[in-house]
Amino acid sequence: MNDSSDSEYEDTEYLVFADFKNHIHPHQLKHEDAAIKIIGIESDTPMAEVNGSIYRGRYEHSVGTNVFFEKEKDNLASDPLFESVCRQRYQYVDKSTKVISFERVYVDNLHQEVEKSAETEEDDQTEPKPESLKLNITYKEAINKFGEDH
Amino acid sequence: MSRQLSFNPQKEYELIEYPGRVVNPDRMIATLGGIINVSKVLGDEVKRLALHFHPENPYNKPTFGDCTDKTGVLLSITVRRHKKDKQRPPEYFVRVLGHCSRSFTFETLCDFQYLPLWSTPKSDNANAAQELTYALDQLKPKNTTDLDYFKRRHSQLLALPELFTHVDTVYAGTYRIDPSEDGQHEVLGVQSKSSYDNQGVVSFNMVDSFPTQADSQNLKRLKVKYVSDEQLALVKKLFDDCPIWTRIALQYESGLTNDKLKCITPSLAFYFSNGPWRTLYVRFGYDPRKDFNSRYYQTFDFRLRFSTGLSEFVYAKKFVKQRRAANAPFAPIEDRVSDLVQDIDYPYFDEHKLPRSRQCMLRYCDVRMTRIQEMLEKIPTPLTGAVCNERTGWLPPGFDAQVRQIVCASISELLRNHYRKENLTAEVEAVTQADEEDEDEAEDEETQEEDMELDETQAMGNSEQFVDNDIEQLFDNITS
Repeated sequence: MNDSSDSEYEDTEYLVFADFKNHIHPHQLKHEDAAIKIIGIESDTPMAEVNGSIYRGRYEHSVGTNVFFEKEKDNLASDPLFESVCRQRYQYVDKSTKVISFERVYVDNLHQEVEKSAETEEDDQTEPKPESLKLNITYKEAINKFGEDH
Repeated sequence: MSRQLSFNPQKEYELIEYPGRVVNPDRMIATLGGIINVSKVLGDEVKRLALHFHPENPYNKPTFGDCTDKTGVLLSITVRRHKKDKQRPPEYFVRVLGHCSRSFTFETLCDFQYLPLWSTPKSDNANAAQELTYALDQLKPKNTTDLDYFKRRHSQLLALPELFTHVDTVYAGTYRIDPSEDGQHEVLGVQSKSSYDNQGVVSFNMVDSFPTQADSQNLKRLKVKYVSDEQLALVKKLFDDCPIWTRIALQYESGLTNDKLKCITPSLAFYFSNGPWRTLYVRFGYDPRKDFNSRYYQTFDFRLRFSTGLSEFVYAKKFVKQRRAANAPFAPIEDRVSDLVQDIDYPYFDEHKLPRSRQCMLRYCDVRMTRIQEMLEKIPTPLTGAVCNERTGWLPPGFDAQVRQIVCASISELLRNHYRKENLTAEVEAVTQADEEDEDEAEDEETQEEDMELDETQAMGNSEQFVDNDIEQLFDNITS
């Protein structure tokens, strides 16, 4: 599988910063059970669910550059004679100029979406298995499925 | 279509919104003061992140970034495209790497940036062109072991202050609360609305008609002040008998307090602020301009002229009321003075007493002197349809001056009689002394006779003069 993927496909990785501004408290993201679901990343309006709240995103360019740092795991004690002492050293991780700005959205007609998702399930069952592996789900169907997961 | 590979944003990252396009991360970190300085600032919650655009130059002042709360998630999106088949849509794989709870943003002002550039000639020629050289090496040593620094000459001096601005934040406040207005219509010191309700005050004129009924607010005020029907009827009867009254006369005749009259009077009469009937209340519906009998009610403004002889008897109205309110203990003097001076609340002028205050507002019918009342009666009746004068009313010109002279004469006569009584008491005392000393009797009698003769001559002269003046003025009035 790896050989075939290396030969057939080429991967490009992009670092994107999802900006929720102040709609989410930081401690909600630190929790172990916290999970973020994102769908529609290729469309103009990606959707995100964070702890039951649904957000709609919009692609933007950052003013300047977003630079990310993280704590170093190996916190070596530095020599105070040649450089100043600091408690916790940080190291450079990466930079990015792509931002997705998320805003809170309130979903209406949730029951109808549940019914639609049920209908899609029936359609999936009727279809043969080889065809279902092709991922022929459209955006609206994905939204309905998202509602089902919720 | 996309697929999400990881969901947990538990890992924490620190975000710095660098104000520039980062091409070389090492130089970016150098402008932030090195990784050690960045670690210090990221580890502290209060420190500001300094950004030097030119790290090696100490004369470039830094711009500072503040820590702001901002929640975000770091995502890694991998796009997989097929090499051969370009028509095939790409696949997206989303990974959640971690989260950020804050960010450092640079939103403050930047201080001055200085470069140590020196202008030096290219050669020894005086007309040679000058060029700017970067003199940082000459101003400071390169490193701790640079001993050549002390050998180099400082051709020019560069002295700059440590800081130019003490505040680098943008003040977004405005001095005007409402920014839409330009402020040109604002007026300082606006006059406040007058609280005095002067609807009952009328300015005298010969053209306009006077009000015929009271304002509705005055009628409401009667109920608020608990004015009874008997009191209202009492004052109404006074206005039926006589259409024009002074405030003191109303207070004296009705016996009501000033507090009640303030409500009753505006509902029955209006007030003249000027003209022949100024400071008087006139019944609604009565027009003094058309009634010849209103000459009895014109205003007689009398003020004492000579103050040397009267200052010890007659005082200003305010002073009298203040002394009464304070209950002055000088009762015997008051008793003695009250025989001579009229009471402050008495609205009429009697011939045998001094006026109540130095200034009295009277009607001509309030002056109870026979001569003045006869003069009022003798004024000839005008033709039918005639109107009064704007200044003198129904009275002939100069009439008020005559009345004023007559009143002054009676006052001086009254004072003379008063002093004569004092002399009599002095004579009685002298007689008692004469009994003790028998030798001086003749001298006292002579002096008494002389005083009597002088008084008689003065009285006769004064009375003759006044009579002559009156007759002459009457002739003038008849001819005019």
